[in-house]
Amino acid sequence: MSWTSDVLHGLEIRDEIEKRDSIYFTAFKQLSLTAQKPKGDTGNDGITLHSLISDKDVLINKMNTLHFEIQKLEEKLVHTNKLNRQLEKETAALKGKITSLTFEIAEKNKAIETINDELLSCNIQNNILSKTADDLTEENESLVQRWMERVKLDAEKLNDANELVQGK
Amino acid sequence: MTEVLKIRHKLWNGSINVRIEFDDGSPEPKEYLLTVPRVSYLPIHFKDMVLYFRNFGPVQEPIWLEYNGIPLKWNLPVGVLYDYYHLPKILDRRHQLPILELTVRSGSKWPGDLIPFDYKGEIDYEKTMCDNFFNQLKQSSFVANGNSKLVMNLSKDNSTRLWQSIVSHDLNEYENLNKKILPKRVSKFPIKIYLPGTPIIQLPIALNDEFGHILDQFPGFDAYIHGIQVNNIRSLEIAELWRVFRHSDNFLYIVMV
Repeated sequence: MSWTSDVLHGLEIRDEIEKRDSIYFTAFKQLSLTAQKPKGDTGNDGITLHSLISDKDVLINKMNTLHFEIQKLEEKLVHTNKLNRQLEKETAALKGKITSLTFEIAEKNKAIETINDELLSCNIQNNILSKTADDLTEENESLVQRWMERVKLDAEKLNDANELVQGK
Repeated sequence: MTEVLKIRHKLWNGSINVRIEFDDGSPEPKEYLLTVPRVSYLPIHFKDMVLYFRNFGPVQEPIWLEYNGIPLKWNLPVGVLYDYYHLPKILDRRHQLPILELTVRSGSKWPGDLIPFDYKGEIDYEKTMCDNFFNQLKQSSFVANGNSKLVMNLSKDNSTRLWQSIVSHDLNEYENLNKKILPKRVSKFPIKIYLPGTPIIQLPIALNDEFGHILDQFPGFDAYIHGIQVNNIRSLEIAELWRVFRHSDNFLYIVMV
């Protein structure tokens, strides 16, 4: 329990004891003031004075309660203003961060574009090289074919010569 | 923070029921009943009291009040008088005897240890009380600030309004005006300690001292402020204690019981 709760609890007990029967004491005071009206006054004046004194006490009590409410609201306002200022600071910091991030994104976009260009030229180069490779493969295949055919002809010639030698 | 406001509100609204007896020589003494805020002063009601008792017979002036035969120092706030004189006698039966019972005395044999009231044709109790209140404010301001300029520089209109806020118990008006005389920075704390049977004690209190430092100077005593026992808040800083519990004259009154 905080010290404020302790004190509030103590004050509540104090008031419970000390304010007991206050209503009768206040009533006595009001009646005694009414009884002190100048001689010659009519009864109605006394009643008016009594009600005025009573109203005054009620109004002062109301004013004190309202003062407490105002103080609470003022405190809340101070707290809210403080929070607002803090949030404004945070918003400004975040805005700054957003601006620097926007710059960073723009720079990164530029880098991506450069990379894309490089990729595109690499693709073109790749396509050219692929075509060259295809042509060379085709040429190689035709050379191999031609060589195979030549070897085949040579082999056949050799076979024929062998058969001729063996026939003799 | 709101809890501190609640405490300040409760301190302002604390009140005591007072029964004042006047022995006019008849078989049944006359009684006057009133409820007085703890932060207020008895002389505010002296004029009405005299007028009331005059309904039953002549009343000589000036008057003073006694508690069990002891003349009451009218210049102290009612709450302090209650805690100093009445509370030690009823601690174990506070529920049964909450009413402060006083006796009116009057005549030429004015008690020597009481401040006399101003005479200007007739006795003006409220004016003397008002002057005394401003003297207290000057003293507290001097202790807190090293000078009383803030109180001295308060305009006549504002001074009147400040005193009227005490008389009419108007917290809003009081706080608005008291703000003008409260120093921005306090160098020392205006604190008065009342110990039964001794004169007022004033202790040198450092700015960052805790309340426990004061309590340790009075072993075996319980400290009461505004009618509540406060030994359990010893770790509270004096600055906070003064800020929350100071009376309307900006003095913090601690009664050791």
